[in-house]
Amino acid sequence: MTAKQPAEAGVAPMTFLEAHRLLSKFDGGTPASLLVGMSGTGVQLEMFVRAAAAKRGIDATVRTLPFNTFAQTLASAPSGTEREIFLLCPWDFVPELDWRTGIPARLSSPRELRDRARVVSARLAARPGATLLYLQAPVPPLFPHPDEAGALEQWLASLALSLHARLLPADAFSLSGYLSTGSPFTSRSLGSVAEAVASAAFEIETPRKVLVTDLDNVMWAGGIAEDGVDGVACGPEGKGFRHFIYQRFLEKLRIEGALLAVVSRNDPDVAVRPFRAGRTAIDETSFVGFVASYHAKSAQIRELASRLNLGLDSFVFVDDNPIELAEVSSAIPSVRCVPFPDRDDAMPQFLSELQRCFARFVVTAEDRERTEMYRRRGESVTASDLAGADLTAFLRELGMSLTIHDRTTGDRTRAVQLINKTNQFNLNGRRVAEQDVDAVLNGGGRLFGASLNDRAGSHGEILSCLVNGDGVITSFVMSCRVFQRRVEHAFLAWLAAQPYPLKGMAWAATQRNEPFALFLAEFREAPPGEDGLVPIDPLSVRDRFAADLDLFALTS
Amino acid sequence: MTEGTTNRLEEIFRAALGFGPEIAVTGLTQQNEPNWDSVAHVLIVSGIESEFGVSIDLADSLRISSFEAAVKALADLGVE
Repeated sequence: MTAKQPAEAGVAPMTFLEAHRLLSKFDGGTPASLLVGMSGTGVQLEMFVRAAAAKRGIDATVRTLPFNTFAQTLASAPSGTEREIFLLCPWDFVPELDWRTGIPARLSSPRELRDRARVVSARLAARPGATLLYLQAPVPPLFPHPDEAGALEQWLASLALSLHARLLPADAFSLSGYLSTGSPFTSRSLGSVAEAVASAAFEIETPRKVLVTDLDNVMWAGGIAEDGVDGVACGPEGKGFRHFIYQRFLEKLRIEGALLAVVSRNDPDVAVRPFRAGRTAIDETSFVGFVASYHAKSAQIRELASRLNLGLDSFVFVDDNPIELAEVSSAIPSVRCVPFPDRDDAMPQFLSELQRCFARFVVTAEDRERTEMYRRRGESVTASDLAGADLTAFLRELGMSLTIHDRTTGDRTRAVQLINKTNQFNLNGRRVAEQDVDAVLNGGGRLFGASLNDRAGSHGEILSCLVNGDGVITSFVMSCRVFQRRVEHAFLAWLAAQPYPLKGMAWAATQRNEPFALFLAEFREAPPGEDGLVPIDPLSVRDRFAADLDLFALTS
Repeated sequence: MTEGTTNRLEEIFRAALGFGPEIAVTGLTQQNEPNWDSVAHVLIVSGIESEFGVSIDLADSLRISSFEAAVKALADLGVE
């Protein structure tokens, strides 16, 4: 057995129970019949594929093949009533490569093996309605020299690509699973494999026109509002490398005719700084729209579509934050949402997916000039006040747990550090020294921190709140990494329910803390104006945000 | 093992065996449950792997012949 592995951050693939629950609640949609053909067993994958179809509003009947009957299926005619999706492994082209048959002592020549693979390839090509996915599984060392096996592996992948197969990552393969149950996929990868199947089966790709990208931790590593121009990284080295590659890729897409736009939860003058400071490999003028505000990103994208006079189904949205992706996906299902990878190794697949969205065989002069043409239509695009999607259901599925730490005594390093480095979600921008905190605590005050975990992993200690002895919150900050998860609402509801006095917040507007102003506006009759004490009615706050508190498993 | 983990494990068993939420699975064994065939077994094991992010090899998966054995397997994997 292998011990638990750390969960991947970012958008986690669907798990067994998530797939089961989704299907339990699914009350039917457009019917579709699917044949998921593979030489191994597809028993484990079937439920995941139905769930991935259900996410797209499709009630799929999924047929899988009996074990080891894939070759016979290929030799017979398609039924004509079901959509064919074939999940191919190297041994579907060259049976001698199948781990389950052992390693043959005598082998045909590499040339003969390739000829045999071409026969299978011709059979696949003769099924034009079929969609192919190819799992780049490792192959056994058949040949006297290991380089020959490697060359054959690469050649087979090329052969699959020549059939327009989509590639599945090699780490989706499990030799253990394949040997014990006949399923070539790791259980952890079933959700993402099913997504690839459903995407191939049900998403008829129409070429997209606009790529809308987030900035922080997408265009560069880091947050521009918190880290400043010198603190973000997007050069060809270290943690900025993947962002550098992304920027160069965007520029290439632009030259090929794609339109680029930015949506970012930032102040506009802050968001553009890395571009104007010459820190980026892509120029600000490469974008036809640049929207930086604290409104819902779905609203920002709608505004862009309206200004550019383009349909929302021509948009692709890239963001690293699963909450933002879910919000856009929920509010505008026709926008293709693509998560920015949180690790370098996922970049090839990510870029390949984007390239597929904007695929074209010929690049014309008009394509090259498209950005300039659209820029002439309107220099700036600003977001409207449209509300975003209700994310309650999505947030529940995140399995969030909030741990509240009383930092009144003991180590308070992180809590104080947060107060002194956070700009956006910051009550008043006030920085505090250790002696300031001591003075508040010695006067009967309290200092709280909060850590957030969800099924993608730990976000660490992300919130800090200092309350003085009179019940006035003098510092309240939260990391922008966890915006939109309702953490601040839940924390305030918790605080309002504590047996300490809570009278108000020492509010002051700064150049950067609009997110906090928006938060205040949620529970005040009028938006905050004058700096000073913003009164809090604990009972009212507790009731208003009780549902937010329910989103979390709370530990205090 | 936490209550949440036990509940998830019960849900996996119910899903794999085609049971509704009213059926108790904590005393279940492969011998006394006709629905627990080879396909259900594969679903139980892959469900556990998928849900808890663990990997179970063939020899260990064969030892999961009851709900209690699954609880022990998870505990051995360090799942709390």
